[in-house]
Amino acid sequence: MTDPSRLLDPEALGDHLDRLYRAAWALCGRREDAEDLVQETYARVLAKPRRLRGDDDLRYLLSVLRNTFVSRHRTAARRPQTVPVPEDRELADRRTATRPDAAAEAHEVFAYIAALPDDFRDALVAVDVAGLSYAEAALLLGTKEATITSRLHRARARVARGMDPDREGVL
Amino acid sequence: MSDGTGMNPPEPPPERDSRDDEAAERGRAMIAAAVAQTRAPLTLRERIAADAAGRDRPGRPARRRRFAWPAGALATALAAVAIAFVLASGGGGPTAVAVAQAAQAGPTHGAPPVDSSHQDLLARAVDGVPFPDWSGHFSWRASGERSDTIEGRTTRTVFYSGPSGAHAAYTIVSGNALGVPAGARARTVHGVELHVARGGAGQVVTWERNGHTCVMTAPASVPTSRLLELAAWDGGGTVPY
Repeated sequence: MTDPSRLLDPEALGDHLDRLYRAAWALCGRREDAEDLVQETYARVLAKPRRLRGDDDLRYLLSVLRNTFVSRHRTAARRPQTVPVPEDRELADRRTATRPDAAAEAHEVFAYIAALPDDFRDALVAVDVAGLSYAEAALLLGTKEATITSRLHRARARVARGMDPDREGVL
Repeated sequence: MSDGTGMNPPEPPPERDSRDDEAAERGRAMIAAAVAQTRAPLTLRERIAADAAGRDRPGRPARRRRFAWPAGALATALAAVAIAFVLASGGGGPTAVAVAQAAQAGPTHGAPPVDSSHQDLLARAVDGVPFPDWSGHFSWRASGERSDTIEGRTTRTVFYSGPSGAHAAYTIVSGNALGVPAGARARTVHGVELHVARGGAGQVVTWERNGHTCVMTAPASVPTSRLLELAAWDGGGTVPY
């Protein structure tokens, strides 16, 4: 019987870097933390050969990213917190953003997602930020697709209201 | 649901709050916009590649050389790129894709030295047009070189490797400039007009320096914006254009 599993190709990991970086940013809320988180995730994955089934490299990488985030979060919670300097906002992804105002908005959106309750945040990160399907997100988060759908709807609404609170009064 | 008596109308489903739906849709659009404008920064790519390179240790089973010049793969990709360049002619001499394909054979010699008397230049030139030294500004280092003669033109290629393991082949063609590739996309970066063609896993950039055609070839995994930035970099005036 043939083994349907295959080794994860380290050379192909770069294909997922943008998605992982966005997911990490939305988890951490800070660009600098996101870079560290992605680097640590890749370091873990590359530490030894990984055998996967199917072609779900991204879901596997996201699961490692999330586990790494949770682990770091627990550790960080036991340390004094550093306060980001105001200049951080000016540095937001300036090498890839095409408009400074857009970069600032992305910064705010990711920071807002990071501040959501964990279940809402994780659903948004999996589907809207990383691009998984509802089914893949359900597998990743160990829940039902219907739950993902519900959490997404409520989380998106929270983001909109948090980012643009004045608009609620217009309706 | 009916109560079974047939007397009462079925209970209507709970009314969905249209404000929730509208807010959810706005939130989805906001997130989509943030996602669309965000890419991993080059510094992160470089950090990860440096980590990966550090994992190759003597005594371990040899991994595939991460940044070995992928002659076969890129040559295949260049066949697709050639579609964009196939109409290139008019200046006499080889086409840009022929130049790029010759470079895919990989380096025949080690890295050329830095020009000790000129910052930001290598001690290699074609018809007086020197190759840049990107190590100081971009951390891209020359890793090898080769020379060819294509349709009577001498070409010299310097191979560069970036800190993230990305690599590129930079060729300067002797003699007059080749024709402008008709099928390529024109871009202007820092006042330098460049032509870009992508196909499959490869990409080719051409431009002129002092009347000579330069051709840069790289895998598609290297951001085109980075290639253009490298190609157009004049070192504050030390790299002649």
